[in-house]
Amino acid sequence: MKIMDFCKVLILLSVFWVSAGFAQPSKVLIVNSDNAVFRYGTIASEFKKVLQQNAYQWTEFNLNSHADAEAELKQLIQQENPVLIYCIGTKAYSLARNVASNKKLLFSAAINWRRLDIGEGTYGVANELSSAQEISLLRYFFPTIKTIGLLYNDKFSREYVETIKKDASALGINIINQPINDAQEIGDALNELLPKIDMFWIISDPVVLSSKASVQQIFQAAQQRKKPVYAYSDVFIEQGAVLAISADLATIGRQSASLALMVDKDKVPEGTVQNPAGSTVTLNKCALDALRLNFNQDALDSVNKIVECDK
Amino acid sequence: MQRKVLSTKKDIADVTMLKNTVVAGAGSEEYIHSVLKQILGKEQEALLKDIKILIVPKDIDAIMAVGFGMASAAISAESGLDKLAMINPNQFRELHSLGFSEKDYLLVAATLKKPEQQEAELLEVLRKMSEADAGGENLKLLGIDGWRAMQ
Repeated sequence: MKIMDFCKVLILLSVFWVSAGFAQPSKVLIVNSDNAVFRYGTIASEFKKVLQQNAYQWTEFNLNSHADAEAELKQLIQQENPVLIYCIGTKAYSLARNVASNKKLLFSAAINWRRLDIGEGTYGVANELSSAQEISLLRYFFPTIKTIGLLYNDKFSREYVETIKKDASALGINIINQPINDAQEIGDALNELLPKIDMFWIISDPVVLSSKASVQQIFQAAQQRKKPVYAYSDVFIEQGAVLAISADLATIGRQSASLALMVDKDKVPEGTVQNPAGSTVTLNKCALDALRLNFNQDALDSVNKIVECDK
Repeated sequence: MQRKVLSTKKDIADVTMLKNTVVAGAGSEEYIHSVLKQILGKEQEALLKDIKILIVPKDIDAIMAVGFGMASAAISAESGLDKLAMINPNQFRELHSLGFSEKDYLLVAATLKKPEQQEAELLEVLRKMSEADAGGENLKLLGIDGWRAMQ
């Protein structure tokens, strides 16, 4: 009996050592739509730093490096059994959702996440700042702006524009939104809209931004009417936007990692999709000076990049 | 000189409720960690290991992260809350302060006790920066109004 008792204790101790002392660190699978793309690479890099600080391991799968991505990803998931799959970009998420819908999925860098096929166990960090964040920061730079105008297509952007109007109203700003059915209507729409507003807001709408010509048309019209243009991305600074505010990439990576750690411990309500916490602000001093537009100088400490006129 | 402040929404009544939550702040993780440690004090220092720090680019991002639910608390300069009051009064009203750090300089320019001539000239340029328009604007980029010589 004594030998039996000793054996039982030995077995119990072995189980304890295996589960506690020799437990494998948690593993995350990072699926990257294209690691050669700067924004995806930046996000992935910051994500991994946080995982490392928290003793998590990871495996990376870059879609652009695999001929048969679907089959290879399936195999990798079976092999690695990750606690969570982190998807960078829409392509990565769509593939992971297809092959591993039973796994916890976390996405980031997916444009307009509401169009994604979201299932149970999916979490994310949105690619875009909330309109409330944008408008708050916009007010910081231009506290005297009262009326902002925008063009949009009802089919693609109705909900987003409704959110913008609601958020703007809460902050004392009036939004005048002009719907267009196709790019041909931009000229007439601007003629009607621009006289009524203090500032024009370029939103990410596929009809408004259907071509380079459409974008040029908007900036030319705004310039003629001496109306400043605010944009959601600094790619429009070169065209003449006075201010661009977008989500900070490095923060998206860190925030995604922080969320992943909490998701792994079941400390986050299912279906949580957060707005990005960090912002990148680009101020176009050259365009501001050309318009003789004043701005709140105290807001300069929130600027990440200032664009001056070429000398 | 300014204090750093730990801000949360009003449903977080005291620091003990920050266990297993995210605190946002601008700067390095080590810096935010040290400020948080100072604010929590010796009695609540043990909480630090159960708090996740999220580094964001600027103070206003940290404070707005609380308002928009990406963090439970924010570390920022006191002036950061003044900014939020101006740009988003509704969100400002939802927050309260759980603690403050000691006052500290926002930025320090230092040379050797007996500066070389070039260093002395540079210090003079810094001292006069706020007197020029361009200088004042550059100071605003750093989030300060001017320099003050320490005696």
